[in-house]
Amino acid sequence: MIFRKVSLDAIPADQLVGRFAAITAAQDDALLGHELTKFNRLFDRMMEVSEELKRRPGDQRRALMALYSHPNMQVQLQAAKLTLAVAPDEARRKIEAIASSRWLPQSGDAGMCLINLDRGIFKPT
Amino acid sequence: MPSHHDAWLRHQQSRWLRPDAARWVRPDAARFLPPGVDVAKAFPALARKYSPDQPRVPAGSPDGGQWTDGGVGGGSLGLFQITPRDNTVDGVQLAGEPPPGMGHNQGPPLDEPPEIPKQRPTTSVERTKYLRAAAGWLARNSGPAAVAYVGMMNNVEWLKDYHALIQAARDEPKTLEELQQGVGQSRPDYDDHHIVEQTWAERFGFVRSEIDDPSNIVSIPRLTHYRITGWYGTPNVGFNGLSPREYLRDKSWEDRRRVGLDALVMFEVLKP
Repeated sequence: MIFRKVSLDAIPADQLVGRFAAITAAQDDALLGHELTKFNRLFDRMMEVSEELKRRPGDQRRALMALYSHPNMQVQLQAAKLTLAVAPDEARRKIEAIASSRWLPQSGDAGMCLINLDRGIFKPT
Repeated sequence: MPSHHDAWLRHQQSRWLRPDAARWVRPDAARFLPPGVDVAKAFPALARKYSPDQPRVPAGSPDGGQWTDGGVGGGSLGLFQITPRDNTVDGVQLAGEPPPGMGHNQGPPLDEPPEIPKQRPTTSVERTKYLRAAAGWLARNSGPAAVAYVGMMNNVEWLKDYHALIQAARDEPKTLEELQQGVGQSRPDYDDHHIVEQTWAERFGFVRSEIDDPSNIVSIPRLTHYRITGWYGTPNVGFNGLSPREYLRDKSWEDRRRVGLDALVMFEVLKP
């Protein structure tokens, strides 16, 4: 599936969450196939959704926490990372659970994320 | 071997991939193991199913007397988890449907094995996707299900060229010394991997002798090498939107090495 850059400001939050899930599930597929250019584009699309939710009144990124239970591990991981600023305890617990899941590559990436948090390299905003 | 025999074998093996596969393990399976082999290790599902020590739900509860995992609220459960009530056949407790914790709530996604393509995928990307998915599943699953899955792979002609590649990816984490011992041996399905990435270290002014020093090179499974290389090259929220490679471009040798070693641990190549 191709995700084009679109205007997100009129899209309801629940649809943004759905778009986020579809984009990050496609990231998982790109990682499996070592399609790094494709992944990079999908990463940009994902960040656009996150920024749009952040921009809305009250910072609506907590809506992404609904994806903590998504069947795709990449969706869970990206949702957890991008909610660290608004729900630090829940998000960290989610990342810790993924890190201990042995579900590579997401478990490896989650472990590195925790290291970066603890070392102050990653400062969620 | 006649094709009908292959079909029969595939059917037998596929039974072990069912969520209720513990049904097929004979209660007297220990008879078929060599003397001294621990039945709990050979058949973890069976051990859970019949162990007299396995916890049961206390009497007085609607599930009283049934086996339980001993945990609270589901948690992380295996493929052969014994759980649900209303899931008995002829009085035998079956491995049940995955509990709500899996793929719901906070649990991990359902861990179904990837479907084996009967025909060789026509593109390299599709082949890579399958091989990495299979290697990943096998790395986190063991016991009868993994044995059966490998058996099914062995029956697929196009996969015969990839058995060693997938097997290598199932290596347990090793010490740094063990990983370094394999360097330069040109083992098939393994790659020599620079802990501090070579191309990028050279581009940012580190000398070749330092980059190629034996202390900076380890031999790791090829599929894991791809995985780590991909991780280095893709943007990452945990590096504030940079790729690890971009993040490291102005960092010291020590910083690069620390990230390189951490990545080997987190991607289950190097023992912590």
